[in-house]
Amino acid sequence: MKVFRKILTMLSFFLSAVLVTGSVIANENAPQINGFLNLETYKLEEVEGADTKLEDTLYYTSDFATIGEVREHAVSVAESVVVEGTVLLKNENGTLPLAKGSKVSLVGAGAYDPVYGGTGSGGISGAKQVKYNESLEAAGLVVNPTITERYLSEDWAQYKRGSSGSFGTTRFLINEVPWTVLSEATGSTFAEYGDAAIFVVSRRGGEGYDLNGDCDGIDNNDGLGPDYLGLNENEWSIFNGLKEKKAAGEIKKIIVVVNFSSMIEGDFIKDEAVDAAIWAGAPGAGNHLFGQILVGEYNPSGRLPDTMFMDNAKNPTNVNFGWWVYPNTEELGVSTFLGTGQYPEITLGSYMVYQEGMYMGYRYTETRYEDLVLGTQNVGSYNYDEVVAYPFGYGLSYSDFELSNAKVTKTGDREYTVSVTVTNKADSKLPGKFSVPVWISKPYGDYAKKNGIQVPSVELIDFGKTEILQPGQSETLEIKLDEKFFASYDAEEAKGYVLMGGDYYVCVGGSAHEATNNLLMAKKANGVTIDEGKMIGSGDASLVTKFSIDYNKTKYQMSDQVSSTDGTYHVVTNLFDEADINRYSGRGTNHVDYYSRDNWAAVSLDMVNGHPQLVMTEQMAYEVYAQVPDQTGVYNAPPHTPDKYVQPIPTDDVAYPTMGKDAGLQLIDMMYDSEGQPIDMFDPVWDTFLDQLTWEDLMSLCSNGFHLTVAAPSVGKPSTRDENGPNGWTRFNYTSRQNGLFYLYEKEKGNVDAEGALITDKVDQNGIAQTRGEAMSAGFPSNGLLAATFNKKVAYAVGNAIGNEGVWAGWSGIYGTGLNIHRSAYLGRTSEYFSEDGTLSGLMGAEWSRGCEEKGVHVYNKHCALNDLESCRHGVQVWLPEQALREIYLRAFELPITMGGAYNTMASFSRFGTYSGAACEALAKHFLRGECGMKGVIVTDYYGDMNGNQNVDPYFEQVYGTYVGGSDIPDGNQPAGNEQNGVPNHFAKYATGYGKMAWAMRDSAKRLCYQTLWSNAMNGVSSNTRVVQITPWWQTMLQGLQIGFIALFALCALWTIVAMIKEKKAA
Amino acid sequence: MKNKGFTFTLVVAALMLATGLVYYLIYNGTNYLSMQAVYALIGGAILSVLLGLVLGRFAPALQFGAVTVALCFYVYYIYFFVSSAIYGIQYSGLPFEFFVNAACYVVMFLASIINCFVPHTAKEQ
Repeated sequence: MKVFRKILTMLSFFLSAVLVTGSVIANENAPQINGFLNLETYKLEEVEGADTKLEDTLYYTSDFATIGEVREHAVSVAESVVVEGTVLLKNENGTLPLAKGSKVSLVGAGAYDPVYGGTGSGGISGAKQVKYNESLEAAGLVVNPTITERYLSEDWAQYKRGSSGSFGTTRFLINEVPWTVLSEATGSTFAEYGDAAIFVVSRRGGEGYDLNGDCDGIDNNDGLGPDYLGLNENEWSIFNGLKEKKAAGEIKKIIVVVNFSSMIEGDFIKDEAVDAAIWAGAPGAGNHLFGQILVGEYNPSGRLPDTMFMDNAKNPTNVNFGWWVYPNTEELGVSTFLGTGQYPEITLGSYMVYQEGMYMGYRYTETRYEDLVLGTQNVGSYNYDEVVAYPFGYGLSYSDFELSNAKVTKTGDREYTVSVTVTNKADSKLPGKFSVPVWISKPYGDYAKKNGIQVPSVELIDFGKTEILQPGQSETLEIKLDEKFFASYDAEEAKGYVLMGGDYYVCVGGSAHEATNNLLMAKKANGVTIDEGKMIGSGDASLVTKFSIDYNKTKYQMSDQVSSTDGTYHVVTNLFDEADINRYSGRGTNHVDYYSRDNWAAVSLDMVNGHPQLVMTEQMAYEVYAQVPDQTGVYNAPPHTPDKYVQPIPTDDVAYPTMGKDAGLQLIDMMYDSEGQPIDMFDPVWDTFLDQLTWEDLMSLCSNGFHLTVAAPSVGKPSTRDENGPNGWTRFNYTSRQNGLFYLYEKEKGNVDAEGALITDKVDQNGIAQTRGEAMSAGFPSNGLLAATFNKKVAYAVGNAIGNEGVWAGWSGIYGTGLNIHRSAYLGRTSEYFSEDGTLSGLMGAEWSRGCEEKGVHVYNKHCALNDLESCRHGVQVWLPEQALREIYLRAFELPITMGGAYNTMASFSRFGTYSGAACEALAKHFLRGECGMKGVIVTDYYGDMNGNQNVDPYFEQVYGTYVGGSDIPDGNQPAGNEQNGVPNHFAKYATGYGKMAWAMRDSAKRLCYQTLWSNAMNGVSSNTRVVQITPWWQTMLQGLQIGFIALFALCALWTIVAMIKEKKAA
Repeated sequence: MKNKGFTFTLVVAALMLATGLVYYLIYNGTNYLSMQAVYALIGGAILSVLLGLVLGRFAPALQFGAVTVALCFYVYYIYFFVSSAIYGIQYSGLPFEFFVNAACYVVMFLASIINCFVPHTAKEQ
């Protein structure tokens, strides 16, 4: 008995302690736990006696009757991306399509372990994806079984691609089997399966790291180090081995397949031994179609979304792709401590300069080429063929298409109409689609030169695509152009968009290089002297139309959209002087020579030392630390910030807004007025509504945003669930939410119990069966592949498919799509982003967003902006000219808002000058809300990375973001407003004496409520609905267990004391 | 008269001091060091030895209590690190020092349990 008592006492004590600790931990992470368990902390209840009809509360519906149909449709959309986005790079002598029954040898580790997508938030499940050998076999090709068996064997698992380390210390392993091993094991079989050798080269990237780190690539001593994006030694050995086989007559054709969301170096593809080449992107759920493309069941119609360089060391952007530390940071007292966690980064004193400005990607390659042909001075040494393997917008077809009757006419004050007839020539063997990019060439004259305006030779302005054309069939495309995009941003003189006076050329069709050649011929026809001997390829002036336009700095002076901050149109003027080191008020002696058409010779290709060297100034240090006013950072917390840089938010005597004044208004009442018209966000009734919110409501709303916005029961605001990612939902459950169509339809059938839970054995099996423990989304291909379709309808279809999935599940926000720019091929996260071109990204992103928003799923387009590298993305200071910022990097975010109705944005980790994306008032208040009219909210990127939780120096606090209007919610959760564990909510100290903060919180609350109101979160909500707080079962259980075991311990302790007393008496 | 129970108490106390020292050395300067755990281990070790000299049979209870408290604080301070390593963007494993420290805690904890069942008085023997 004594032993039993001892054991029970010890056990109860131990379990009490464990439960108390566990409860503390669990409560701190309640939102994540609830998310994992798909639990809500609020539920929607009907007022007793109410008889609300379901159809009256379905504000967003689906285009499909069942979840099964939704998923089937989503898969077919993913397939269309692969079919239309695959790019045929090379096709000598009609190598492709292959005849069914052809016997082929498939080599390359990637053939048997393809890259379907990226990693991190852009990841998709690979479990259901199809390997290349399976795809080819299903299409009727006979694949060399010996090679297949070897590649799939355990012995050869060592040759699969891989990586070691993490994030900034990741080492990428291409591996691949050496030719000697491949040849020895399978060499004799090539002849039997020699109709073609197909060599698949795969590369993978993802969140958290770039691809210019340590790897097993070859180091060419060009400053790039071992190169992940070139062939490694083993791959070269295979390539050369295949060439030998071909020379010996064992193989008839060599076909190269690039399986990568971005561009590898294209030098080997240009080898004359390569008969055909395909860029297949990262195909997601659509890889089963690859074989069908190869045999001609589908005709490729994609165009490259990026420039493929022969050698990335010839791309001067790479000189400035990386991050550097200000040399004098420590002198100023700014920490350069390398984080010890997942990110060895410096958040407070690192920088990068986009020295190329506008001249990035094809804007560099084609402009310098044009200047070479024009005989411009100081072009320097430039050999286009040695620089560019395949230009932006390049893509072949199995069919032969021609353009005719190309006309561009001015059809309105700012509208130009492009009309062109596309014909699939009669002698083509296959039907197919054809896209027509349209390019604008602006004048590079005295005005531009004097004011430092960079003018690329051609820029994509819009595009169209035909339907499927049978051989001999034609279609006339009509594409409307907005003259606004003829304007250039002048940060110097006009401080706004200007139409520079001079000749504008609209070029119809072709890749960027073809457009440039057409432009040159058109200029020649207009009397401009060109050196045709220097041209690479020929041009067709008939596809170019010239317009002479006078200088005009007022026509596009005002924003097109009404501001969501004050309901007026704003003057578009300089907002980002502080992000241009040459204009930054605290620049000190810093200066950068941006690239210029007048001096290409000054462009550096010194990958190691060619970047600008900047020094940190005291003003930079002040501004950096201003963004952490409360010192609540987790890692390296106070007293880390030097005293002289501590800048608390100042008190003020601004009167606080009215709070807690009940007017009987619920959020649903803010949808339509008494006449059935939508209530404008500036209607005074919104003030009455917001006056109802208490201080606790404001704190709660502004503090919590980890994949959600919280509920506000006092005003009937339901919570919303928001999930990753740019290529479709990464995880959710169709049955999870009360506002989901699935739940609502089942409820109407009577399949919910008294507590509101689904009675699972009664619900639609077509829905439930497909949701248990499986990846939900179709797994869409990489966005580069989507961009390559050059088809807005496909982009819309992807967004709409995702929206349909979301409305069934009741998920109201998606952290996507990804709109950062493929500034360098070494960017790790290219699978989530579209292109090197801001217009292509923006136009495709606009359609994606429109499709999604139509289903009440708000996009949080990310990461706005300048998050164009992964390594040191946390806090890196990015410096660039405002023209490039607006016309490339922000254009990608602008168009989805102005043309696609995108509601929300996720701010970037990186900085605009010294101000991090979530702390940049110019970006949030003046650009996104002011000029673009964005109506929703701005969420930070993962907050734990910014406040030091991941062992990087904390560099941003949400209180600051809210205060300056830079962001509304953190992608994270702060301590609750009820002082959990002695840590008060970070906004609690602002309850008195900080009126400006209170008003800023109210503005954020308004946006949060407004975007919830116009989302599918309101499905099922009527004026008879109440939002009721509930305690998740696990919290109740933990509480009960704690009480139980503490009580048990107390009893055991008492028992022990009584026993000891008895013992003593007996003794 | 000191018995093997007291000897075991001394062993557990030594393990507590060693664990506290290892923990401090590995995690000093990071967010994962709980000084509460360190104080519980050091204080518990010293007090248990003193108590063992006078009222030997209560020393194991004191040690067990101190070790449990220290373990709870350790878990509370380290859990975020473990979860971010496992559920972070890309799992790359936990460092060797983590396992060393965790092993110390486990050994110490088990020893403190055993000590509660080792005889500490002549009567128990």
